[in-house]
Formats: sequence, structure tokens, C-alpha cells
Amino acid sequence: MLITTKKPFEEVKKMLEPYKAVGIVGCADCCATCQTGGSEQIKAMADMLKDKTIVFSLSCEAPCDQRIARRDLRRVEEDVNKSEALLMLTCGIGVQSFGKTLATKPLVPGLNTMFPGSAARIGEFREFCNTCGDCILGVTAGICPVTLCPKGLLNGPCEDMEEGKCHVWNFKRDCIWYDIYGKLKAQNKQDNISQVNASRDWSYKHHPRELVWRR
Amino acid sequence: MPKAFELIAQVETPRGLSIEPFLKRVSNLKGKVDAIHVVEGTGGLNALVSALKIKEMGIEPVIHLYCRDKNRIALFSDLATASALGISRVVISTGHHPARTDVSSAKPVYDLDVVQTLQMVKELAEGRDLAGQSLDKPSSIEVGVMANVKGELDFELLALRKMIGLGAAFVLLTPSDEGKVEQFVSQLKVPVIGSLSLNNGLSTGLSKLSQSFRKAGASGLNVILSPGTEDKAASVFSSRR
Repeated sequence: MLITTKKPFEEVKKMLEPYKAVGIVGCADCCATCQTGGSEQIKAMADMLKDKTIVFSLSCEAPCDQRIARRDLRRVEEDVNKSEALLMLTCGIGVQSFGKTLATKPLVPGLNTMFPGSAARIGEFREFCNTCGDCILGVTAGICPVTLCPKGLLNGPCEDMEEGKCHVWNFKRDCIWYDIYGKLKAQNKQDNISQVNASRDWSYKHHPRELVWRR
Repeated sequence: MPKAFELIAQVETPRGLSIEPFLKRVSNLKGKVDAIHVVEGTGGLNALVSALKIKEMGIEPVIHLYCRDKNRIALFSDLATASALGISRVVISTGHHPARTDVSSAKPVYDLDVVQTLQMVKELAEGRDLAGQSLDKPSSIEVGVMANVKGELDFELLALRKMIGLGAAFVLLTPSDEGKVEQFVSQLKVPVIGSLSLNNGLSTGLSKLSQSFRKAGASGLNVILSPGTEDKAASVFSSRR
């Protein structure tokens, strides 16, 4: 899922300054889990915007899916027309996916999009995958060094590691390459370390990325 | 690699807009060390240009390149330039992450890691550029890599052997005592250079220390000087020769 955080309210307020009538759109999926754009956060935001007329609020099941965005917008078309702007409690994908349908309506982002991540528990989210497009988990014991090594090294630990700890974390966290090595040893696959993981073809990551498999 | 035991002074290029005071301090090391290992300070003067100046003073430079600061295009350019300038020895390491420098807002590059840089050097040595096109001549660069003495020996050796398989010509240890040197020397087939930091002077004389490193099988000793102390440090080296 995509991990989001709330923008400071002052920043949101400033962006909404020109508008009186505002609609609020939230996300019932990732942003609800992150407690940034679920129904409760939509309600809390409406309460905080006392000087605005909240024309409508909408909890969209997947704002990132343009088909669902279009469907939900049809249902609230009149309210959208009455709103001068929509405050989006969604990730950046949600904002832009709505923008594909609402070409001229101002959309105000209420959240910052942080990273694709995993929820350990409520309030604790971790980045595991940086969507590099060339997965090597098969040789690294299912642990991603592209993401979890701060240097993204693909061939073993660096010269700054000390006693299996990472210098970037002030030696308070394990060097991920030691985690990989430990797990490989447990699987009797430590020879994987000798494999040369060649340099990445970063053209996979040139922005904007797209995937079209049906024309 | 020269055959005899080598004494190398590691210096860091200064931040600032004047190179002369740095070169003047470094010039005191002439005749006292076999080579000067030039490391680029974060945002400091360019290591390659500083190394060229040091070479022009008649001291053999070894340059240090970090994967942190440059993508493969820029690293290739530095390696090709070093070759063109006759600077034949290069140490490659990942470099401290920007988060651990005083420029923590910098975007870390790490386009290539050390292993992948060695693969690129191999191409360069065979006379091919990044795009696989033929170069006018093959490079004659010798690349050294760093070995971490604070790791699990078996694991570090696996990673080092991978680098040696790709052409790493020598191994430079992170600072350690001669005991660690012995461990790595006995396990590796390339020259191993030990390291020590010359922070607050030496408890024992440098000549005695270099003797014990030599006895442990090291092919050389890399003495890390604190920035700005290159001239003062020269007196330590004079006791050797």
C-alpha cells in the first residue's frame, strides 16, 4: 500500500483560502489504514474547516483507480459542481486520478505521499520495496537490499558497517546484508553471496513509468 | 603494485577555494612516503585534479573514488581521465552515506556499487566504453577495494573474493592492528595494505608499527592523516627513512 501522512493543517488552510464551498474526498483503502484519509479523518477535517461550507464528503474505495473515481464522481456530480474545490485526503495518485475526470476543478492535496510500504501495526509502516522493476529477492533470501540498504548495495556490505550494524543508523540497526547472509546460511544458500549482481538498468525507472499490456 | 613494502599517506582534499596551502603541506611528505592516497573531502577539492598536482610535484598519487557521489557516467569519466593522466592506481569504495556527513540533505547516488564499478573497470581495461564502443586504447588502471575488518571474516571474504575475481588488484583494510592484517593476508591472493589513523600521534614509532604490519604480511601501510596536518605528520614519516 501507499503510505501517506497528513499535511500540516496550516498548509491545507492556506491552499483552501480562495474557496468557500469545499468537497472532501477520502480513500477507504491505504489512507484509511494510515489513518490519514479514512471516514474518521474526513469527519475530523470537516470539523476543523469551520469557516468553509462542506458541500459533500466522499469516501472512495480506491481513488487511484480512475474507473472507480469516475463512477463515484458521477454519483456526486451535483455536489461537485457546487464545490469550488475538492480537498483530497488521498495519495498523490488519487489526486491525479481524480484530476483526469475533473479537468478544471481545483484539487487540493491534504496528504503527503511517502512510500509504498507495509503496515507492521497501526502507526508503524515500513518500506520494503522501492519498485525498482527488476526484483532480486530470489537471490537475497527474500530481503530487498535495493530498499533496505541505505546505499542500495547489491553485492554485500560496505566498508562502514561495524559488527553487523549499519553506520547510517548509527549502528543501532542491523546491516541488511548481514540479515541476508544469516538467512542465506540458514537456507544453506550462502554461495548466493558470490554471485555478481550486475548494475541496474535504470531505464526501468525513468519517469514517468507506464505499463500498457492491452491496446 | 611495487614489490617492496609501501608506505602510503592518506590525505583528504580540503574544502575551500585555495589549493596551494594544501599542496604545500603535502609537499613535506615528498621522499618520505611511496605514495599519497588522495581522498576527496565532502564537497572538497576534486581528488583527481589534486592528485594530478601531487603527481606534478613528483609524488605518486593514488586516487579514491566514491560510489556515493557519481553515477556510472561520471565514474567512468574519472577513471578514463585518471588513465589518460597516468594516474594508474585507484581505490574505490562506497563512501559515507550523506546522512553521516555534514551535507545530509544530499541525494545519495550509488548508481554502481564497488563490485559493479569493478565490472565497468574491466570493460575500460579491455578498451570498451560504457556503451560497449571501442576506445582508442585499453586503460591500465589498477583498482583497489576496501575490506572491512569489523565484519564476520567468512562473509567479508566471500564478498572480497567476488571483487578479486572481477579484477580488484589490491585490498586496503579499514584501520586495524596487525592481527587483522594477518587474517586477511592468509586468505587472499592479492596484496593487502593495512591502515591506521594518525589522529593524536602514535604511541609507538611509525617504523616499529610498519615493521609489525610488514611482518604480518601486509604489502603496505596506509597512514590516514587528519585534514590540515599533512605537514606536521611529515615528521613522523621522516623517522622511517
